[in-house]
Parts: sequence; structure tokens; C-alpha cells
Amino acid sequence: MIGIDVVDLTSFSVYEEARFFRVLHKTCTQIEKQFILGSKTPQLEYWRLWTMKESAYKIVSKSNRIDQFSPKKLETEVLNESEGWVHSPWGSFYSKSFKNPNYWLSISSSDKDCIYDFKIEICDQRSNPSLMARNSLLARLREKFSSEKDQIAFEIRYQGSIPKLYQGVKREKTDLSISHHGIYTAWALCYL
Amino acid sequence: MDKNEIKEKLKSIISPYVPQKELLETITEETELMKDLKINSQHLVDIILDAEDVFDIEIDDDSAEKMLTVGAAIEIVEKLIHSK
Repeated sequence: MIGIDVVDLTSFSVYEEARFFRVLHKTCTQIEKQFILGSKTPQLEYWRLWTMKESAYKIVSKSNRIDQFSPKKLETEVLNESEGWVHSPWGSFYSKSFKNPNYWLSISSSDKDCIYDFKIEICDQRSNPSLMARNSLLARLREKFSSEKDQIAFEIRYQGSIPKLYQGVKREKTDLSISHHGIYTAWALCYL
Repeated sequence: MDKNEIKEKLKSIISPYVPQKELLETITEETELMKDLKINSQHLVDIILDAEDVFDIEIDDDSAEKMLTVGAAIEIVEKLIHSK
């Protein structure tokens, strides 16, 4: 399974120091706080860890009926500038993060060797970001699986807040995740 | 502070973080902050911090993780105010 999360850094103003410490206290474990505060750019690192947690949470919420908001239960372990793990009572998830001056994007997967596609796009104000991500994702699926003679009709339906892929009435095994924040919309597809 | 006063103050705290303001018009105690009001999870942290400031309370992790509906938030704040 796969989870994606994007944070548009231009959508958040920089926290005042006192507020930032309180945010860390509410959302991060002791180890995470040490990592963030020991970095050269604490607030920027915070958003990386946050996207790692959120992307892993999306996997957890697909397979477990969790009815709680508990970011500290998803503890990040940073391996290097782009790789890491998110450990939780619901399992450990391999995570890859992508940095841009304006966003952080993280993709977590339940299987480290999972092969996936992803795309991040800028969404203009008039567009519905969720619809834009779905259309972009469906276009990618058609491109990958359909030939000119054999057009496969894929559809994305939501069960609660979780998007699922269908081909006709049958649910496809391909797992997907969608995220949008600020001007960015992103999707990830995992081919099982 | 009675329940209605807490509810009104909480609505004011929540309001800036709701992306579609029309969603606030149909708020009930069953309304879910993330699913119904489309509040993102980071702003849920902001709401918890703002509630601590406004009500002069400290919301611990166990309470914070249950603050998913308007009703649950009212109940938690009410309990913490009365236990001061």
C-alpha cells in the first residue's frame, strides 16, 4: 500500500519560536525533536517529518479502523536526505521525501520494494485540486494499461476519505493515494 | 463557563482554519473537524494550541487524539476547565 503527502511551504507562515516549540511538543517524539532542533533549518525539517508521518498515516487508515489523531504514534527515522522510515504500532513504512524550495513531498509504502508512479502538479485557483489529481491519475492509468483498441474504463471512488480504484464494478489491486495542499496537488500509484 | 459559551468560543477558534466558510453554517456536535469541515491535520494542531490559549488549559496527548468532532472538543474542553 502507498500514501502520499504534500505540504505547500508558501501556505504556512513561519512559526514564532514559542509557538514552534509547542507544535513540536504536540506532534513529535523526543528523538524527532532532537533531530529537528539539531538541524540548520528546524522548521523546514519539521515539514519533511510531518509529510512522512502523514503519508504513513494514510496507509494506516486504509487498513486499520483508527479513530484518533496521534502524530506522535508515527515516529520518523531519517536515513539520509531523501529516505527514511515511519514506525508505528500499526507497522513500519518506508518513506521517500522530495524537497523543493516551495514544497515537501513524501511517499510512504508498506513494502520497501513497491514500484510506484507519482506526479505533483500546480493547481490554479479555479480548479478543484482533488478532481485535478484524479483526472491526472486516470490519464496515467489509461496510458499505462490501455491500447488504442482496448480502452479500459477506470474509475476512482471514495470510501469515506479513502480513494479506491475500480475497473467497471471490480476493484483494482493497484493502490493509490492523493494529496493536495496550497497550490500543489499530487498522486501516487503503487502497482501490486 | 457553560457549554454554549465553550461551543461559541470553539467555533471562533475553528473558523479561520475552515477552507470553505459555508461549511460552518451547518455545524453540529457530530460534525467531524477533518472530514466534514475539511480542516487539514496540521491545522488541527493549531486548533488545539489556540484552544489551550483561549481556555487557559493544557490538552494532553490522550485528549488531543480524541478531538475529532465538535462535540468531542466541547466535552474535552469542558472537562479540563472544570478540573482546573
